[in-house]
Amino acid sequence: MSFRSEEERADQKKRAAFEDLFLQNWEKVYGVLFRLTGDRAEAEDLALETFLRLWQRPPAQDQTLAGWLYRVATNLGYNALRSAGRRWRHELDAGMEALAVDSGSPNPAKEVERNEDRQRVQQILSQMQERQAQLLILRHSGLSYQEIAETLNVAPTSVGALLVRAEKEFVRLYEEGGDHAPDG
Amino acid sequence: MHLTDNSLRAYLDQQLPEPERSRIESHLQDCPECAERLAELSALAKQVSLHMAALKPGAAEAPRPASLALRQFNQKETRPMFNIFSKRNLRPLWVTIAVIAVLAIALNFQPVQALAAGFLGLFRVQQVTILPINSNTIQNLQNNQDISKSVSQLFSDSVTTTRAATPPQQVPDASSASKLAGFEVRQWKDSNLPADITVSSGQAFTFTVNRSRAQQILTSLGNNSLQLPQNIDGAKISVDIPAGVSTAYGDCPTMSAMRLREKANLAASTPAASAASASDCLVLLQVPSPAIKTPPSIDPAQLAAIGLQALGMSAQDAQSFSQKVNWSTTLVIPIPTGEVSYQDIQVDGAKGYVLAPVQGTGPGNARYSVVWVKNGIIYSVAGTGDPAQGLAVANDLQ
Repeated sequence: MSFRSEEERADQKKRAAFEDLFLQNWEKVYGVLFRLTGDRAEAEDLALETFLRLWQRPPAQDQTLAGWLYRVATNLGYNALRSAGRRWRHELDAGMEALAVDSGSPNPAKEVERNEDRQRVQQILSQMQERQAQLLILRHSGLSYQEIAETLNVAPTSVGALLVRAEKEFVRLYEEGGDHAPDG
Repeated sequence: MHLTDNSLRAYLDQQLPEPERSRIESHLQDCPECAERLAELSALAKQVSLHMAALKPGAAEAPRPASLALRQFNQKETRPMFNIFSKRNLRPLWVTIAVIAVLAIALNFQPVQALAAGFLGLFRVQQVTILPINSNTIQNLQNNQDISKSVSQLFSDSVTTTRAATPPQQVPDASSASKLAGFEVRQWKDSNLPADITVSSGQAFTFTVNRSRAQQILTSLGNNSLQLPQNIDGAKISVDIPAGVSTAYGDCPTMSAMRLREKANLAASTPAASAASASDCLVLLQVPSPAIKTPPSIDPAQLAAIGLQALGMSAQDAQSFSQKVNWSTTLVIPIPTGEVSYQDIQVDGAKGYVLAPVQGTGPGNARYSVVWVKNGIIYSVAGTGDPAQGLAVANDLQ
């Protein structure tokens, strides 16, 4: 019979808390990253990386975990989006998927259409202020106002107004045709 | 006093705590003005929500279950190279394969494919050649909304699936793979690494060319002098992609991940993943040539020359390239110059190419891919590190 040290018990507790958080947030973190990248493999990779960072460098005491988690995920997603040549690769992967060499796609025409819609929405988001685009992505990934507020460092009581503003901007750009170059 | 947009929006999203919620409800009952604004905000939210739904993961894009992801995390978290060899870094290998496959079947995602390779006679791959394309041209094409809209319209109206794809299947050995895929599947003779064999089903579809739409695409590329021949209008093109086999040797995150997704069976991938180091991953892909059938009146060289000019090639170069290539037997791989380098080689008794990204354009280790065609089957060996290793494997197949 052996007694575990205090330290070991604390470590185990920390690990258990981390695993709970992982299980509770995995799908939502993936959802945010998928919306940003439009790519399953990339979104899963970035989600794993987000949790790895959380485990290796947990946030300071005064920060909430959910806020930290989604902020890191969003930043990773944006960095991936900005990386050079990404779009080209993405398109080719889309071609690959339709080929069923990687995964089955029973309907190439539908796939094209879906891709088209995605690209259009992503283009509009890229024309918006980054914070507004993030707000829409986070909300549509199912985050609560509280979680959004923690992620974007805004007051929870202002999320509603910010959302309305972002939605109006989205619709304005959409109706304008959304064919302007992103302004960096 | 009227309610703010902020409160109304939060009320719509059911994000208000109870006393606040009731207060708003009672106000709304007495204030038609605020009730109307609520309706407006609700309509706005719905409109945006409808568009944002396009970004939502589809059924095939759902993540692996959280419990499996956690197990994978626990396994990876202790490995120091976590980020260096993730699936993401491996993907350009697949991209190379995708380029081949996409071009070969003239799939419809890009004007490149649609124009340069879209209208071949009976197409059976017997050899492979390289077409360098300016990567800026490609980027510009892709960023052009009009073009991508026209291309998707060109195809979305007229594609009929004649044999639908089914999910990839894992098989225990090469003979089962041969049986399932319907051709003789080859293996790396001297491998002592664990092999992971997956058979993908392939698919077949037909589409009918709408000349005016195709012409519209050409015109929106900015070159008004290019005219497609009249006789392509209404041409019925059928594409049949046979089943293909990919074999992953060693520790291959992409394959493991595919397996995870397909079978949700993490345990099976664990020994391989921990036994081999990252640089031990090699992927051998073999796909019999796709068959593309077009009416005999169509002249592939003529169309290719038009397509190449649309991609920015001079009329003279386009003419000479398209005459040089036998379009009904050659797999043309477009290479974005400046991003991917290539070298022609003799491999497996055939002519092939080694493709590698130009240094500094991607993260992680250098990736390469060896591509060749033999007896009507397209082969590719992809890996990281020294291409000589991939070449050795390519020359050691049985």
